[in-house]
Amino acid sequence: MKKTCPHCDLLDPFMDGELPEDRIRFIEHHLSICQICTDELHSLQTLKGLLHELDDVPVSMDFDRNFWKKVDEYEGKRLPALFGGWFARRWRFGIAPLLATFILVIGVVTLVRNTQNIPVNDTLLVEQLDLYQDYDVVNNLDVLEQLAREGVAGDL
Amino acid sequence: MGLNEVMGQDNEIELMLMFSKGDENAFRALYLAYRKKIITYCYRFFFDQEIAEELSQEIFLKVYKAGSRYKPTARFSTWIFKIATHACLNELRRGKYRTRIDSIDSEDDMAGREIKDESDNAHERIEAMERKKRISQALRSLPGNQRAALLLREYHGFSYKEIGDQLNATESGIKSLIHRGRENLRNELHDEFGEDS
Repeated sequence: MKKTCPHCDLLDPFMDGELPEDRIRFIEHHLSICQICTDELHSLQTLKGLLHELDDVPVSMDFDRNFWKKVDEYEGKRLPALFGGWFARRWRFGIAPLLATFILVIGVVTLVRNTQNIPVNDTLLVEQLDLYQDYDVVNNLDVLEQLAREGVAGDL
Repeated sequence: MGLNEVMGQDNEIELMLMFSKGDENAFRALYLAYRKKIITYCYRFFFDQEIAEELSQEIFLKVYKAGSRYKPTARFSTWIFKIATHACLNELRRGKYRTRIDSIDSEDDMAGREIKDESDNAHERIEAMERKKRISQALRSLPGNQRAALLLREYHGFSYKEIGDQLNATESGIKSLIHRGRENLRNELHDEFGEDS
């Protein structure tokens, strides 16, 4: 049967550097007088050496390519979802510009339609305003001639 | 150690914070620094290169996805190995790897790769190869938590406290896990020790 010592439990943290200063000093002293703990520590150190015989693993040639492909796939899915997600969370903020645009469109449509509903006679009057002004001159031609004779026509 | 102290000492946290602000080159730097470490960690969990690489890609993708909401709470290495440990333990629970390692001669696969002894002595090389097979078998026979705690301690040098963070356990719990893990390994590898052990 394997012999044990009550202090053997401290050997793992001792080897791993996890003991406080006073316990380290205690174990160092204890090891000088306890063969069981000395053998146990030697066994732990042998195990540590064995574990470190295993080498690191080489990275395969296509590891990077496969990884970045997965990143691209993730990004491809994320962007539409991101926009959709934003809209789902912030739809209330979207209402204001939509409403403003709607009101603007209604205003423009109303304006255009009102412009088109001006009565035809009024439009003709505006278009032929110059003719009416000429008619006025012709009507008052005798007055103008009299004023010319009196020598003030040049001022008119 | 306070968080500010951790951040001051850990350039990797700064890189991750740069990535969280959209700097993809910062992520590439972290990826290159940790790629081999993470693959090796996963490999020593399962001793299967394909599973190790699949898991490693998953782990880095999780880091990538977490980028925008990253908040430093520990060293970056502690954080990424926590993600790796959870991924490995989940894979172990799923048991998917079992059928695969039974179907391939993983020891031969590993031995071919793990021989670094350039000695011309064929006998020594064969012995070294056999020993590495036994070590890998012994590691694989450990329960998941013991395996994780030992790998994190022996190969990556994490403290008991950091391993506790990674495995969601107390420091005394980790001390006990590591002690039992080493005890189990020594039982499995008893031929490698002297008769008095």
